[in-house]
Amino acid sequence: MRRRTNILGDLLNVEVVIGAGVQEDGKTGQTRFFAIFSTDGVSSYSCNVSSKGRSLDDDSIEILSLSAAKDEGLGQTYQFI
Amino acid sequence: MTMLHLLLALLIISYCNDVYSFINTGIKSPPSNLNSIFIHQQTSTSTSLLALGDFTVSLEKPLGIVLEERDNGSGGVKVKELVEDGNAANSNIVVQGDVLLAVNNVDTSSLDFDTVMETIISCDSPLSITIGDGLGVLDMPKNVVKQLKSTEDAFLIDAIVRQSVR
Repeated sequence: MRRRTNILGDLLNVEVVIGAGVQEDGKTGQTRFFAIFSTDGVSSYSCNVSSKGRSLDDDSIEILSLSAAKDEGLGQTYQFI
Repeated sequence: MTMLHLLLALLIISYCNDVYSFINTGIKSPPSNLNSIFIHQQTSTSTSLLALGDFTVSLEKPLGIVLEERDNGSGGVKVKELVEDGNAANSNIVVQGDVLLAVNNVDTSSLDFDTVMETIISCDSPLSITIGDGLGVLDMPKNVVKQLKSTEDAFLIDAIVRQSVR
């Protein structure tokens, strides 16, 4: 996400994981978490991020889908993958 | 029969302790049988496991990394930006916001900016730099952990979160 876009600003922290599940194969998982960003270095806001990924044979993690709701309620959801 | 029960009880307690420690304190180094998940959070030929979110990479000089002091009050530096087409950027491993933990096994996590720069300059190329994602231990509430079947699943979710924000 830090590489992919400047839309969200700088990532400050991952606040809390609010949902998670792993498929039967044990290699694919989906999660939802809150990440804190700043676009001006002074103020910050939280973003509801949804991500799905899987563990590959070389032990790296491939992100299959990634989206972030920048302003929940205002419909600004960004689909990165 | 009694000994068998005792052994079973010990095994169950051991397993529960393993899960409990992850839930409450986070595990800086996962159990050895879980290493396979976390050895490479990035695709690289020279990364290795240190702790969740930490890894070591070998880079040629010039690194192509712009560093800045961390604002945590305890020293250390982090990656401010990467020089376009530089060695670090081309490695596809280091990203903005990463924390520089060590250079050639010299702990730089609490050094001031000038001392870190002197350390880097004094080292021959290639450099072995250890970096962390700066996220620390992720907060995963018990109700979320309960949705997972095993400690391995929890580590997989941890890795997916870390990879998502890179």
